[in-house]
Amino acid sequence: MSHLKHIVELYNCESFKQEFISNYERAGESRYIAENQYVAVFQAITMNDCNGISPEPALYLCDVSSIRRVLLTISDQGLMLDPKKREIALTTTKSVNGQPYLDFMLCYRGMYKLLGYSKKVLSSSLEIIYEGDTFEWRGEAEMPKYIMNLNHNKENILAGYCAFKMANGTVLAHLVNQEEIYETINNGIEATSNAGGNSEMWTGPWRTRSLRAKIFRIVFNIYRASLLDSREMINSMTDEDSAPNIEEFAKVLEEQLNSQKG
Amino acid sequence: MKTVIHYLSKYYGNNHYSEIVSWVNAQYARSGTVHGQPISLNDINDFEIVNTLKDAIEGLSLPFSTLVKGVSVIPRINSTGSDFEAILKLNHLAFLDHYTRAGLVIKDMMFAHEGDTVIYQGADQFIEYDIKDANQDNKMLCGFINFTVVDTDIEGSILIGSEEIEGEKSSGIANMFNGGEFLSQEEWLSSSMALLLKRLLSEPSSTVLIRELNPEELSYVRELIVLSESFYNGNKVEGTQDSDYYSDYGRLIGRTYRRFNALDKVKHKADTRVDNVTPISLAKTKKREEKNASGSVVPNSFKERSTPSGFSSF
Repeated sequence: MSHLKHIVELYNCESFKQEFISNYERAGESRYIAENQYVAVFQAITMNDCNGISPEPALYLCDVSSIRRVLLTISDQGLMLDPKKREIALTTTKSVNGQPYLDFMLCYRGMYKLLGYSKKVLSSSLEIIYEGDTFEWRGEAEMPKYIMNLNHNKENILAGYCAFKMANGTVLAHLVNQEEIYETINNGIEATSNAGGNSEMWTGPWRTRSLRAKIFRIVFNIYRASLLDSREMINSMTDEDSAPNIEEFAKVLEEQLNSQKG
Repeated sequence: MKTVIHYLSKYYGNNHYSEIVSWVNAQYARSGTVHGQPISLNDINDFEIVNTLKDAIEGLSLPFSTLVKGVSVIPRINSTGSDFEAILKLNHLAFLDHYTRAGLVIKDMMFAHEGDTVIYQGADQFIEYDIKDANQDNKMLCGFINFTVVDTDIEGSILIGSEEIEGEKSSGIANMFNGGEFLSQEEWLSSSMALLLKRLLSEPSSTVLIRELNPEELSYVRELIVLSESFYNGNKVEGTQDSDYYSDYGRLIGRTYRRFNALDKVKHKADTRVDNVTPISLAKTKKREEKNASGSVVPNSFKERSTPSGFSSF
């Protein structure tokens, strides 16, 4: 209850609200949208509901200073905090002393938005190459040649690429090979089935869409330091980051100490 | 219908009255089938429809032109299957207006069929095409948009394949309309174009557009995208089937019955009414008529009706 009391105090804090709203206004959003974000994010935190997902530990148990920090960081980037916008996902992480603090993960819509705001990137392209398409890979510093054949064999994916034209005139290109793509699809199907969901998004009409989003997330994660302006966003989590497992780490450390003793 | 017209004319003003009436009529005239039952907005309480419209119109300050050009009100079975509810389906015109205001110029918006030539070389170039009217009846290959940004030399394109065009329809029927089929083929194609316009902000094309277009209008487009996605909640309705529950050993241990679902109610409304029960409100009249027919005196005054029979004999 005391957590909620602190959250309500933060919600009512005029200086915090003003800073939050002016962050959005600087990013070109209207005051109306900014106020909507303010209400939506506090609603998500107090209800522990991020678009149907309830983080564990609950969002409302988080340290209020972490809530303040995350909300100001995200609004400063012009990313929408309303979970329905799916630009970021709020989550919680436990600190060493067990106190949960608020954190966030970038979703692919948020990633695209950050690319649009970035002064380092001029344009981006992403394609999946099927059997029958014309494709020539020219290395990581040049745009690949690609011509789609509408009658390509959709059952046989050969590769995928994502490339960025940078403001300094260079190109960053990344090739994802056939094995990685099929592994991604299989992992996606497995993960969805394990979560009790419908894996149709990896097998049905939205397979291309899912795959494009996944390839973008993988490549963005690799190159985000080169693509983004903001240090906070470069260091932010994405769903491609594997969460550190403290227990496994402890186990490895123990084994090492034992072997040293031996 | 009157309630909806009244609400809209109150919100947008009476100067739009004739357009409002015509739009509302069009929505009520649309009918579809769910498990063989014809359904339309007439099956939904007017106040439910007004509530759905009110949330969108007042929540987003939806301009009048966006409503009448880009929004359709569709009936569907609710999540419990017990009744119908109204949802909003946005077509491509809803997004197009706001993109145009933001500075986007749509050069081409096409569907290609077998026999047409389409050359796609990436999202940062125009798609070259040769589309012939003679191929209109052939199998659809793709839908695409060529765009540029006002006062710039930026070029771009976005394309979806035939499986996604078909997916938009099948997924809409299954997850948005809960099994109902309410839109014409033309409306579904408009919905596919809306899908392309929505994707402009979550595909590589967005890198250029976010930088070049008016941020406030883009923000409004994002609000419309959220609105259009908010009705996809996948409440599949399994018709009138009952649910069986089995024990771990495979024995049938329970069965849930749904007394009257939404479809039963519509069916009941459509059935020819055969009266074998007299409504309570008519019971006294009927009894009186019967007594009158047999020649007995029927009390009519309040005093007569409220006096216990036989009281006067004491």
